[in-house]
Amino acid sequence: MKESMVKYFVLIKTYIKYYHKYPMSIFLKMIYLPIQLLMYMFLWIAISKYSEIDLKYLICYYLFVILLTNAFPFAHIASYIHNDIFEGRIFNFLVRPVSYIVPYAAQYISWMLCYSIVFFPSVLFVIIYAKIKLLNVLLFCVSLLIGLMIEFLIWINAGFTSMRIEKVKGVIMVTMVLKSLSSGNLIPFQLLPDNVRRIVECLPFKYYISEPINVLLQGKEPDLFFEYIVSAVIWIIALCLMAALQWNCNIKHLQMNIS
Amino acid sequence: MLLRKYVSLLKIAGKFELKRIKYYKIDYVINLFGKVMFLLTNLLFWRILSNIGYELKGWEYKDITVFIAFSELFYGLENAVFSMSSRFWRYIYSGNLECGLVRPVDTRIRFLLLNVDFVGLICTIIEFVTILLICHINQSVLCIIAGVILVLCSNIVLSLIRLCMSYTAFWHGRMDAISEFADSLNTFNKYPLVIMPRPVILIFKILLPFYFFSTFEAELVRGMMDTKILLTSLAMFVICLLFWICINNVIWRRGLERYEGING
Repeated sequence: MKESMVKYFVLIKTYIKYYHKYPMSIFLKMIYLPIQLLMYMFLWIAISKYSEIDLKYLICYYLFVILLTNAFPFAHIASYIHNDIFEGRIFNFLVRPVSYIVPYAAQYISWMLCYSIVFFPSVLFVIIYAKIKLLNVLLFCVSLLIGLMIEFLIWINAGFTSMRIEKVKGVIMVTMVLKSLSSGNLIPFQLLPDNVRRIVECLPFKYYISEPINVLLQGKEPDLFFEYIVSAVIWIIALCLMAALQWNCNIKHLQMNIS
Repeated sequence: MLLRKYVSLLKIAGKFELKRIKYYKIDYVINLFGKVMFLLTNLLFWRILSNIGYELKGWEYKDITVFIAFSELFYGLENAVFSMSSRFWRYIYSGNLECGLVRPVDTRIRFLLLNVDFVGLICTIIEFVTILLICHINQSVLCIIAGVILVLCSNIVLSLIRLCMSYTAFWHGRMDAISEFADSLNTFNKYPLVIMPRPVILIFKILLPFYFFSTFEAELVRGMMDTKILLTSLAMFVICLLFWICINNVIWRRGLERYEGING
């Protein structure tokens, strides 16, 4: 356990150094994230002129949608795994003393640490602008960490399908579309028709965007929050099992293919 | 003569694409399914807004559907033909550019042509026609054709902007972040840009082509503007196109001088 933690730390440090060397990624996010937010803002401002809407809530909501959606190129996780499989690099990992997903997880964690430079000031702005309670901020941090884990596992699973169907462009596309509707990225859940909402609430995508944002902006009763955590943990376990199952079954298929 | 070379390049790319479809059938089917889902999600978004009673001034659901048709056409063309322009920096950074420079066709066009997604292109055309047929718009075919040409031209301008960004690799090397930034310019195709304040719309017409991604085409087809605005907007678009062609050529030449200077 200790040894594997050391490996994680070494990898995280290495990736942080790498990102530090190319600060342009963070710098450009500071430019284009506000531009993207302006699109949403202008849309809802235009609508608010003729309809009654809670503009303050929507501005904060879409600020986080932008921040979380663009936090990490999640689809790249699947496409990198696809490249590893496609070009045969995955076999190098079979003889290494670390699990295949460890470098990806380390890369993800280190980028998120760098991204906090953009993320924390935005959270601070929302706390002041929407007068958020401290308890909501704490619950938000917990739900966000869980959401980040679920999002990572979803894309790992999408990438692993490459072991069976080789190309995953279609799988990435479907996952992105499902995520766009079911995570609350497109429109807040409150505005969805009841039947659509019932379907999307059964999917794990809501844990990354919609739920953490609503926990922060609207708060959550302790018992409901506990229920939420339990269901999220069940999803994490299910996604881990699915990834393990895919790996165990498909790596054999892949090796047989090669031999 | 030069055109024949480009056509033969397209033929080669087409043959590769057919082989790809044969090998990766499942992926193509899932991708197609994803595209249909994407369109339905987009329509659902505006249907929800319309049902709740949220409307953009002067834009009914039918106008929005026409906007979506052009928006999908824009995305489709961009993904199928022009998406690689934001990745051109890799060509420069990896040194592959040298191989391209000794060939008898323009390196940039060759790079784009060999990455054309023919299936995506066909799907886009089918999707565009289907949406227009479903929403029963009784407009002249001429307006629709003009709209399609404008979408194609705005895609070319966007591609020129992205190429300009890619050329920074001549000076700064690796440009991952630029690709992400260049790709994010698509956001301006998400909603009709009438939501923007007037000065911003003016910039989006004369300096940047964002207004012509699909908002202008939807207005043109639905007859939502008078002749004076139509003509001035078209003049602005021509200025924008010429401006980016000039900028593109200047930076390309400067970049090449630097690139060849280093190797020499």
